[in-house]
Amino acid sequence: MEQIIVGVADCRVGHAPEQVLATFALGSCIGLSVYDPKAAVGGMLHYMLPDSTIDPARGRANPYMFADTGIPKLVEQVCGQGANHRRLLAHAAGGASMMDPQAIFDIGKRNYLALRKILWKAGILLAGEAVGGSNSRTIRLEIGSGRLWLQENGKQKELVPSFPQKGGN
Amino acid sequence: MTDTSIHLALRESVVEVLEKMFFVEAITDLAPEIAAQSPAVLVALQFDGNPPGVFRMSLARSAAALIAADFLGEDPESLTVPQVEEVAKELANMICGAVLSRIESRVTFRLAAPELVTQDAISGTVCTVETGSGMLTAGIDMETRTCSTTARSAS
Amino acid sequence: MAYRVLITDDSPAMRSFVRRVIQLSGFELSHCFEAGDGEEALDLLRREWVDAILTDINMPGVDGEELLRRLAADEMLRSVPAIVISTDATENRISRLLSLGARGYVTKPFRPETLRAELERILGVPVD
Repeated sequence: MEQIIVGVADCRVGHAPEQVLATFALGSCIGLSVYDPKAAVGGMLHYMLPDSTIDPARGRANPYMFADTGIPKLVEQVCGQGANHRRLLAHAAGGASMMDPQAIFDIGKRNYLALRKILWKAGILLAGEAVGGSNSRTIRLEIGSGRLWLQENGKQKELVPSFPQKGGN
Repeated sequence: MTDTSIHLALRESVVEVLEKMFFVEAITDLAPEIAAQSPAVLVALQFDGNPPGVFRMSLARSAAALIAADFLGEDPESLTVPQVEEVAKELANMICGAVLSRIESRVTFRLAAPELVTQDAISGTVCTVETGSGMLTAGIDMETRTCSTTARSAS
Repeated sequence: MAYRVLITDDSPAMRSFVRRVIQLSGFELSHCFEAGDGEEALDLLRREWVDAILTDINMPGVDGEELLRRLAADEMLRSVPAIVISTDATENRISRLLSLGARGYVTKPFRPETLRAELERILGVPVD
């Protein structure tokens, strides 16, 4: 097994079955994992902030710091390794409120809204997510199987589709 | 139904609709005087319920264009004015429905089709939020129970 | 699989949104028909066969509830599953619509993934 670590404001792609992409300590940051089950290619992005327009120079220097510059790059890179955009399974973790709940700017929530908006515009729906709350999270994507593992509160579980079947949500 | 609880229902509904379907984080509890300095799309819709009333929404045009583009998954430059206005009408429809679901949980309400209006003061219980690209003000004006009782006994 | 879906809503913006969700849910080979109210929907259903009907409730003319009643009363159409998409989240409305034959219910505002889950439940998960 070859573990490829995705750091903060970083993005990696894997296309060999023994590879595992992992990112740690997702607090208010978002870890986004995408995987094409047919091509067996996957990618992972760990971004910190929703919007690069606050610092366009930084957005150019490190696009992976921001949702709006990082997510399109992640998709471009996995597709460059043979993934098909239409087949991508996306999972997200993070977006927690790590600070005082009275804080005016909830970066975790803003990161999550930015994720949803950019994925919707890119034509990708989420297959599963573990977001919000106040826990730190770690995610691992197995390129061989496409399985996405979530670690939270010392426990590990597989992130499977978690959207309700009925209306009201 | 106190004005406070209607206000809470209104604010919760504005935030919920903007976040869930339009991916906008609304900054709430702004003073209404700040709003409506820039050109805005104005929507009004009547509803039957217990009590009936009118819902109105004012959305800064700058915000309306970006919100519509995000909702439809298109570029802002490619949208027509009617497309932007249709999204604004649906936004108003959803906020109104969400408010009424919260405050009239036992009664079936009916919403009329939302309409664009040119001049309409936003009265009743009002909430103003910043969408990040312009202000949104929503107001729900419900006929008081005294009035509707009088109307029934008069007919 | 290429499904045929009828989207009934008086808001063209909402019809576009729903069409996009259907396409992004893996049902991109589906054909989406659109109708602005219940009458238009019934007219279309007399000419075209569909696998599912998605309908709003508050529409001018023949509204969603009346549409469900007429579908249930029609020998051929009563087997076509209908999913209601509505702003009305009240218990009264939901239970009435389910008793009128609605097979699914999605409350506006909704996440695209929620509508996808309902479509998969009614139509089955799309297979490559």
